[in-house]
Amino acid sequence: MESGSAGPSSPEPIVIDEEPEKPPSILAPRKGVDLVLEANDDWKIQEIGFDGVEKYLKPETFTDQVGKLARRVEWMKLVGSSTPYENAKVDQTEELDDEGVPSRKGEIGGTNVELVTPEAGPWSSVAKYLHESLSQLNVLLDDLSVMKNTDYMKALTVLDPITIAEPTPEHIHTMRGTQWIWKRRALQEAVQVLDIAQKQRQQALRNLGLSVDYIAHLQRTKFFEELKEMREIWRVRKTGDYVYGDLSYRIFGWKYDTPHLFDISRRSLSSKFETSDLSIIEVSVPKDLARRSMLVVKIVKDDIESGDLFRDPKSNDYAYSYKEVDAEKVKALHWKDSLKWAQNTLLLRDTFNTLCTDAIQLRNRLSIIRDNVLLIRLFDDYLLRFELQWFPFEAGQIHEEGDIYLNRVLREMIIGLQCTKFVRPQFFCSMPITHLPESLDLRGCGGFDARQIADRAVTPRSILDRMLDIASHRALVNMMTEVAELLCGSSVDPTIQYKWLHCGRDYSKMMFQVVSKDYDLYLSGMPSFSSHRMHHTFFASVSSDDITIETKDGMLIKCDRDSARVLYACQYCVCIYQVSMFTMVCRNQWITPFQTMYSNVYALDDKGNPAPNILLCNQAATRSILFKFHVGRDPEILVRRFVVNDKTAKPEEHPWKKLSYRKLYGATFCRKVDALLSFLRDC
Amino acid sequence: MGVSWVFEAEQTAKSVERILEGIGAELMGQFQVDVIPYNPATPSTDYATNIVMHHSKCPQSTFSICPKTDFRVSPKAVCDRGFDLILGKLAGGLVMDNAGKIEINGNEYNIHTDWTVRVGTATQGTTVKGVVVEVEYDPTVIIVQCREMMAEFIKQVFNKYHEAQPEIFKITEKPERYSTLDTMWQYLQIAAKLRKKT
Repeated sequence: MESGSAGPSSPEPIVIDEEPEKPPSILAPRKGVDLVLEANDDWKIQEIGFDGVEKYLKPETFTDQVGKLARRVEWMKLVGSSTPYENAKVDQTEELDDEGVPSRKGEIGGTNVELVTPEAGPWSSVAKYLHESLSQLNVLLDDLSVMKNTDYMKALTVLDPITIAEPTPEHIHTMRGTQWIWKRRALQEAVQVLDIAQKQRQQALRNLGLSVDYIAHLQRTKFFEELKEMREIWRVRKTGDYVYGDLSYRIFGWKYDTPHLFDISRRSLSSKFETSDLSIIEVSVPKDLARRSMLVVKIVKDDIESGDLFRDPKSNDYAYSYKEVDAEKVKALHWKDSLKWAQNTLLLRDTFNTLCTDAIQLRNRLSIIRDNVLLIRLFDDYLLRFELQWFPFEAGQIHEEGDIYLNRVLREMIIGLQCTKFVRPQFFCSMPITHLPESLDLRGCGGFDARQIADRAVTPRSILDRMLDIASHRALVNMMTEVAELLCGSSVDPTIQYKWLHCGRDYSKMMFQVVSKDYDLYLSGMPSFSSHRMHHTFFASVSSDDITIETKDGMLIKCDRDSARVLYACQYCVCIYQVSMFTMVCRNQWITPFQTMYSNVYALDDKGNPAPNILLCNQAATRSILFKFHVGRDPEILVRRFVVNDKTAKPEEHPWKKLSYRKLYGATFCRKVDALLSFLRDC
Repeated sequence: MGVSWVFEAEQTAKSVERILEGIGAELMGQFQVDVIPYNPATPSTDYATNIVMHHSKCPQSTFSICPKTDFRVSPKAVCDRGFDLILGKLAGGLVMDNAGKIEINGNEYNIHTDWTVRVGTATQGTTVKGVVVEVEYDPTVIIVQCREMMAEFIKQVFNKYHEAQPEIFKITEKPERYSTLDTMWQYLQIAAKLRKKT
């Protein structure tokens, strides 16, 4: 078949099988004529690429043809040259409203002449509407974004009353529905605002910790913190649900004794988180320890003449006040205070009992115990008084009575006794241990016999023994101070000064220095007579039993506990000093040269009292002077003509002439001596 | 502490006590001495027997002597009573010989404060082996000062045992100190003699 018409035709030659009736057999030879169909009009080849692809020139379509023809039309001839643009005839009102609005051509025409406005085209109004609507849409979008970003602007819906015109009666029923909706919406908005506000407030509340859970958590934390603090000082234990602590003060002994336990509980605070002064831990204290106590030590003089009793039998301070103790009031105290007071009470009560037991066992000292007062004999007329005082279990300062020094020493001994280990602790060693106290370890190895062991044994002394020693020493020290004050105060010439060289618990030493005004030069100027200087100082040693006055050259004067004897001994030492000063004065070669013939510091007078004396004679050997220094009195001065030997002068013919010390010229002793010696120098 | 002379008496303890009371002795109390040998667990030539002694005069001490041929070469030691406990732990090497233990129990007398005489009966197990007397002179610890006097004392009181002086008295020439170990050495010698007796 042939196709002769122009049109799209397949460029490929179609080979038709000429004998379609015959079933095609594989090996049957083909008969007939070869036909080739081809289009009459082939597309022209534009080009042939290098890969063999042919590019065809597409024939013109209908529109192409029309366009070609239209280009051949001379449009200018049809329209005219004076009106180049068609839309210049359309005026502005026409643009806005398409439906027959009369236009004013005249003005438009005028303006049109000057301005060149673009031709709108038939779709210009549509474009204008589109543009307008797009710009309105833009405005709407802007509004929405502005409203979204500002908090105080909210888009109203169509049903808002603002847009709705005043409601007419016909519309009321419909309006009611909208009103309900509007009210509900308004309430919802209010709810929203209130919700926000509540959330904010709750957050604020949570931060301030006022919610109930938080309070409980805080209280728990506080409880455990305070418990930790308590454990640093107190022994605390928990059995099951029960937390308790131990008030006993023993380090090496029984602990957690039932009578000395205190309970620990958590105080239930009110839910308000007000900081209170009360601690979160409540502590209950055993009733008999619920009071404050103090152990007072005092040295009292047993004065038979005074009518006072040592203890007022009617006073009820010691009474068993634990029955009146209010457990709630005890719980209201802070545990730091209440536990400390209770333990102190326990400690002092036990100590007082120990003191009383020791006092009873002391055989050679009398003691009296009455309720809370222990009186024990110290020495002579003095008694040592221990009193256990009780005070109510409240905060406040307790006035400390008695001798504060002795109170402190007693307290120190109590604590020291508790802290001392009397048994050697077990050390980890592979050898078996013995039960020997540490201080006596050499007993076995040294082969000591029983008597030597007993001699070397260190016996722990009871607190009462030690307190007695310390208290008696204290009493003696006080006495010594009084004597020293009396001595130094009353003695103007020579000047006596005293100071404490050593102050201990059971031994103290005091030094006295005797100084003569103006005559110190003699001391410094004569180094060869330094031996005389030793008389310018003397000492008083105070032990717990007695007082001893010592001079520098080794003389000891025992004065036991007699203050009069101490005074006497000191005055005696001053007399010795005066003797040495005398010799100092008369060493002066130029003014008062006198020779010491004889001097005896240990001399006694007629009554047997010590009276140091010194006998001098002048250079010309014409006069002899005898000075006798009486203790506590003025010295006795005797003068006479010097007796060389019996041949020249008989002693009876030259009696001793007594001079009055008071009437001698001079204010002080040394001056008087100076004056006397200068008078008698050349006599 | 003093110088002691220990000897075995050939009379009963009672008769010795009567003599002492006759010269004015005061009964002070009881005393006890024991002598315990410790033998090596397996007999060997390296280890010798160690003798451990106690004396009631030194209640905290234990004396240990390993007797060799001569007093001077025997190792001696004084220790506290813990030594016995230590020896207990060394049972692998030294075993206490209970059969050979000799105990001396008796009375202690004091004569004129300076002299102490202890009279005791020596027993090994249940058998009585003899009577041991210890004379102690308290004031001095120097042997050469007092040995003659002690001999005189014993001669005066007992009139018998004064010739056989203890070894330490004989060998000491210089003024050396007497120690309790010397007393224990004397006890050791006597105990060895008593052990051999029947």
